[in-house]
Amino acid sequence: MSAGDALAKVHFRVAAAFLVVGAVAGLLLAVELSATNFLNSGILSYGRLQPVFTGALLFGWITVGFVGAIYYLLPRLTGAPLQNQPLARISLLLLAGGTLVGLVTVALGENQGLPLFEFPFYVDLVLVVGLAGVTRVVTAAAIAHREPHVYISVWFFVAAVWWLLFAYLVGSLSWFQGVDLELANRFAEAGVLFLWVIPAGLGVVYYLIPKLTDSPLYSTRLAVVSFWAVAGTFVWLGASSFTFGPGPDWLETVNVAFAIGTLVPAMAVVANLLLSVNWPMARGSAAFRFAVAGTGFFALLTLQILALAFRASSSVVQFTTWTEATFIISVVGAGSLWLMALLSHLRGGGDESYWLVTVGLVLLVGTLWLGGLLAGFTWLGSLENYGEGFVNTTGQLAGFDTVRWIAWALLAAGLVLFALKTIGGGRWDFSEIGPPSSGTGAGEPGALSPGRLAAAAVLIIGVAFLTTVLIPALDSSDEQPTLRAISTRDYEAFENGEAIPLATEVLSELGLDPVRVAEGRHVYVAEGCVYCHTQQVRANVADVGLDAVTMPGDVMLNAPALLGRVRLGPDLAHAGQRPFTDDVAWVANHLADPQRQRNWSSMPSYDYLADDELEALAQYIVSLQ
Amino acid sequence: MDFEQLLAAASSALSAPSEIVGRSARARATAEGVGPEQILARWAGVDADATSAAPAAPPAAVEAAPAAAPVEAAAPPQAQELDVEVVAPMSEERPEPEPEPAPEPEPEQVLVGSAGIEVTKRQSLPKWLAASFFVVPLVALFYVASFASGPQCGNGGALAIDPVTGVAENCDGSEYGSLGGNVLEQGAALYLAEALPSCQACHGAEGGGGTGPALAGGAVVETFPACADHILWVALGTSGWRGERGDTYGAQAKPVGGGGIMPSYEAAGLTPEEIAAVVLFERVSFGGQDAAAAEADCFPDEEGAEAAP
Ligand code: HEC
Ligand code: HEC
Repeated sequence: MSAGDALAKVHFRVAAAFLVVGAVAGLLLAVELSATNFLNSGILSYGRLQPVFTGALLFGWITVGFVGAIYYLLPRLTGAPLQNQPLARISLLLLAGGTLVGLVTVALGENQGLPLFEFPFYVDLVLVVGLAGVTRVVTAAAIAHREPHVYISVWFFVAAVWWLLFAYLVGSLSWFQGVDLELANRFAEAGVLFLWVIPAGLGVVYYLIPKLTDSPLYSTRLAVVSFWAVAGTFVWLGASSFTFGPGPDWLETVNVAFAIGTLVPAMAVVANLLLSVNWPMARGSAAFRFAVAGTGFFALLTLQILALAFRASSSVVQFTTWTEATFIISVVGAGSLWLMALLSHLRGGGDESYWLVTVGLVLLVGTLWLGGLLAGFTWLGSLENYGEGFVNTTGQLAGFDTVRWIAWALLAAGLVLFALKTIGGGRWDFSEIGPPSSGTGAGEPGALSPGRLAAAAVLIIGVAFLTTVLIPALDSSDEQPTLRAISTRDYEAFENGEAIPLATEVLSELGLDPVRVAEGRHVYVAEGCVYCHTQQVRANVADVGLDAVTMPGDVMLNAPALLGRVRLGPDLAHAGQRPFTDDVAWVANHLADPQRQRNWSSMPSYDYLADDELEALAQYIVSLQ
Repeated sequence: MDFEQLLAAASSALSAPSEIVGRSARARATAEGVGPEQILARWAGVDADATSAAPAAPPAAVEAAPAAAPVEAAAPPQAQELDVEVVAPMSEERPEPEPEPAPEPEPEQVLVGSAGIEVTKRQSLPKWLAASFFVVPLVALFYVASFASGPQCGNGGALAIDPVTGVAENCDGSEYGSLGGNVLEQGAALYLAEALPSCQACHGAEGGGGTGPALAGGAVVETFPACADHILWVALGTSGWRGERGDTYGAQAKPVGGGGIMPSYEAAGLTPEEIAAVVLFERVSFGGQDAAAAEADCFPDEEGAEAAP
């Protein structure tokens, strides 16, 4: 085994360890929704466990795993051994160590309020350096290619590492505030999910499918089309979870257009791979089945995104469990299955995991979609989707929550089984290596060099960043904070004890102390309440009854803006104006034991927080006017 | 035959330098999981007994090209041209594969790297696929052209926002859930279909009558000069009116039940607002009343009335 392969193997094992963490966290989250008080407290509380789940799977398992896959595949595709292995080793250390520290901090209650990018800034820094190292190693290895023909997988790998680096940088930046910050966060989310997990995985399947079925790739040209189509469409989808939101309206139209455009890469990939397969050779290999199932989930992603982007369908599915399926389909579906395909190819076996994982995934996505539709139609039909009226939503989802944890039980069993086998001994077969290529390294004349490819990748994501994040941010710079923002939401000023006459007047009329309100908000952010509650009222039929529509000016003083993506509980944008939640004592009691006031509640108990924190949190809720 | 002999035979059969043929054969053998001798034998056309163990033939699309396989490094001029083609989309944002009507050149196979992956440098795509790559961007463009300025009120469930309270409201500025500004239109819809049982079933689509009396030609306004009575009548129906108002109705003191039985629309679940709307429609369309005057009469304390012409 070459040193490069040994390095890849270390990556695989580290990734598998994170997979165990992520799979167990996913299962526990699902159980917590049904059995509300089962372990749902302290470091395992729902709002803290959610970022542990996404962080472990996205950065620990998929990222480290795909980096290993790239280190393994690049030398075989380029004919040049992996250069600069010390840097690769340091990068692994930074990535794995950083992710581990990040997971611990969020579990201890240090969320930043930015889904997928919850890690504290020092962890972000470590991860960015680690990712930069990976990017360097991969790009250098691709540039040093000896093989004259630069295979399509190499294109995907080189572009993907740059996209990941760029997206993570944007996600961890805190230059912005309010809606601009939310847009940056969503851009970065789309970046890591759709421009890292997906293309890196596509690179792997473009290698695996021809290899496993011993048939040539159907068409290089079609593969090239799929590459540019992935690059050209997915990067624009950041705000697709933001339809009807306070972002610019034209951005929503852009989103829909590119969501439609994702049909092109989906068709190009599926057609190319299916036409390549030499079916008699394919049967019986778990690796092949993993690869095909992953590709199936990749195709589903288009449907997932379209439903969220189109306005008519997003009035129904947005903020429901449908939204949660984006991560499941792209990371747990496509990404994991593709990575498992490669691992099962190298290691053999994996059949039991294959069935557990795919059945679990299909059940899971099914419940998230159907449950989402049901909740969405409930919201459309009711004007009281808060307080006691929320019982309709929670009650209807109870059955779906049960299926959800059953699905997760299958899924987690399959994933953990697979991970343990990857970590444990067993025979790895790294022998698929032929004579080294004797190519000159100059490349065919006119062929795209990996260096130019990397530049093009950065250019593409840069243009999208400019258009979907920077321009809206510049556009909104002459926006004025609303009265609501000045009087109740200028938390920075509250904290610093700055006197804002209007705020003092409004808050003291409500019986609130500005300093306590700001403290309460910190607890809200740190505890991850944003994973169940939105603070965003849309100007559409579904949100009638939730009071004033959220305007950019309402949140422009805030970082993070906490607009939220999912409503497992009611919207809280104006909780302080509603019966019950306009009373600090009631809210504090509710937080300590939600089931006492509403026995149907699926909200976790926060009695593990100090009374003082609960009181501050309650003041913050009541301040939401 | 041993390896060297096979190599020589294969090189001469393919008329390519033997070191290239040997390397390609080894790579391909790794890819297929067989010995290099079998590959060489196949290329050389020698009937080596080992060939029987060779895996299934490649799919039909590439069958024609085994001889072209070992050309990876030989890079004939044709391959260079092909590659320029392949990279062409790079300069554009959107890939736009051209469908190729002309007879295509034979797809050529290339062996990549030491991993032994083969790719087909195919120029044409299935027609449906090539066509859909045009259609999909067109649909997207069409969408952008139609909804360029974002969610217009009424589109996909979008509502307007009250500039003072910030609360979502109907597109015409009326409260969400109310009938909205065009009460007359609502009334017509109710008369024709939405009220159940529908008025037109008994009174005729043009108000000419049927099971129930004719309303057209001013008749309905003659019966009910005041809108309030008209509304009450529709709300109560024949038997309700008898219970509350006695045995006659309308300005001509018609006998209740004289023309048959009219159902109660309060009981049928219409809101007071909806009843007023359908009544308004009857008074304007069949009774010949002026729309604004009738609306002021039927919706006395509605601010919405001022929006009407
Ligand atoms: C697992 C999801 C979940 C998490 C996490 C969660 N909630 Fe809830 N929350 C709910 C559900 C479900 C309800 C509706 C039932 C109820 O009122 O208890 C709710 C209700 C509420 C209400 C009452 C809303 C109303 O309209 O009456 C408030 C206030 C609230 N949550 C605050 C919080 C805060 C603050 C946090 C974080 C510390 C939090 N929630 C975390 C699920 C959650
Ligand atoms: C099942 C048939 C039926 C339907 C449906 C019906 N009507 Fe009638 N309507 C009658 C009958 C029969 C009378 C005469 C009642 C009587 O003599 O007691 C009548 C009488 C009336 C009158 C009084 C006319 C006059 O000049 O005497 C009005 C006005 C009227 N209906 C309006 C409506 C409206 C508005 C609707 C729909 C919302 C409606 N009707 C639906 C059967 C019907």
